[in-house]
Amino acid sequence: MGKFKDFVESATTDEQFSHPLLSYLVGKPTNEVSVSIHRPKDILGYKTTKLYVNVKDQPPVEYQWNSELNDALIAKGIRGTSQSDEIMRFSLAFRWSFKSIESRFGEGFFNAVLLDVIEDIGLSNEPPVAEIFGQIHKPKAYMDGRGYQDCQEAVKRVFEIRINDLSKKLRYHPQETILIFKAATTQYLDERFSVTDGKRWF
Amino acid sequence: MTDDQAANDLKCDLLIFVATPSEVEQLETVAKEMAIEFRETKARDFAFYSMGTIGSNRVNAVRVEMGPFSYGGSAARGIFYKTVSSAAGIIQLGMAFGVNDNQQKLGDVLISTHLFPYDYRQIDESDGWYKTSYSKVVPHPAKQSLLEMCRKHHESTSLGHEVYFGGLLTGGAKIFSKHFVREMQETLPKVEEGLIVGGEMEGAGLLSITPKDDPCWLVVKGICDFADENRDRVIRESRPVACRNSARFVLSALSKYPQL
Repeated sequence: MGKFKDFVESATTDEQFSHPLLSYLVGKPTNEVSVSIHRPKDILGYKTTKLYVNVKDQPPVEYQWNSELNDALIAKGIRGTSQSDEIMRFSLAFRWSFKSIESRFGEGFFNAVLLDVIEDIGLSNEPPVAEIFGQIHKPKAYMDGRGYQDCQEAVKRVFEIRINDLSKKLRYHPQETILIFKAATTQYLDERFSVTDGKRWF
Repeated sequence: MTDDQAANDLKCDLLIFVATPSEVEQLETVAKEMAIEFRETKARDFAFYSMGTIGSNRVNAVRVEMGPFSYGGSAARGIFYKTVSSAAGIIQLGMAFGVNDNQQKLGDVLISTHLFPYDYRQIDESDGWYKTSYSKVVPHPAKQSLLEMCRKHHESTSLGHEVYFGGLLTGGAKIFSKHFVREMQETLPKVEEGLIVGGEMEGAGLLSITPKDDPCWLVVKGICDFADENRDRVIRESRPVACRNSARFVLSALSKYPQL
């Protein structure tokens, strides 16, 4: 019991996620580290996603895409190597963040509320979102009951968290934040509703 | 109806896949019992059954050929219909074999927490004969949101049959041998959420549609046989109830969940 008691008393970490890479990066200046996303387009969809970590004066190290690792790197303030890396990174982050909302509310309801929120916050008229948004067949959500409001708040919260990631954690200029956020949302919607891939068939 | 209108009607949140005439027939029967639309729509390049909005999901059903591999099988049809319909999920309904005739009964419903595509087995030379290794057959997890919906429905509903959640063997073979099934049960890696509860054919094709870490599919099937030499004889009688129970389970779950 003494050994276990010592273990309980020494348990101070509140970090949910650990990874050897995060330990390796401790003490390294964030401006000397960046991440690249390798996700080649396939005929339909995409090939396997890989995440490369680039540390100054060292060869890039390859990892399989891992949403938790990505969130931990964002929390450390590590930016994408280029703007297109950041856009792809955040579109994948949306997919990860929205998964639990989809599980709770179901596919159809989540689809409807997601599109409502995008309209509601004025994002549906903003390029490049508008171009994809206009091609999505919009379902109508059942708007009575508490579910609608709960789902709406959960979706808005994901958007707010990701905006905060870009502006506060990664310290992007407001204009860059907006540009990356809008492009990442567009990419997510395009994949979720198979807009570009769907057009290839007809 | 023009092809453009049909393409528009094909847009939905969820697709239901069925393979055999019995599966289509029982899905239609259950839909009618539950006052759910079941309207056949044909266009130049595709055909489907429009089922309207069930619960909070716009649902269409599609008939695929039996098995995963052919031109009209679940892989080819899955990739096509998922893309053109914008559906976020696919539920494969129909018939499956059970693996334990002491405990399971014909008509009980099997729900895939995982699929094991057993065609990935390796065949090696061994002492002038061959041996089979299943080390490359890894479990593929099902779409979590669809699984959750089925779990909630099962926990809150009393049914006239049992429901088993677990791994399903999947592949192109028609199996008439308990020994083959037992070999796989004993050799394949164990999954966290329980045992292998049965097997079927179309699920293997669904693995082609989306990446392993972002699956779009769930398999829900009624037991129609136990993969032994009696298979074909038993199926003749068990087919309707197996198809009906799986269809009723899914349509009831869709109409009830999510509770908003």
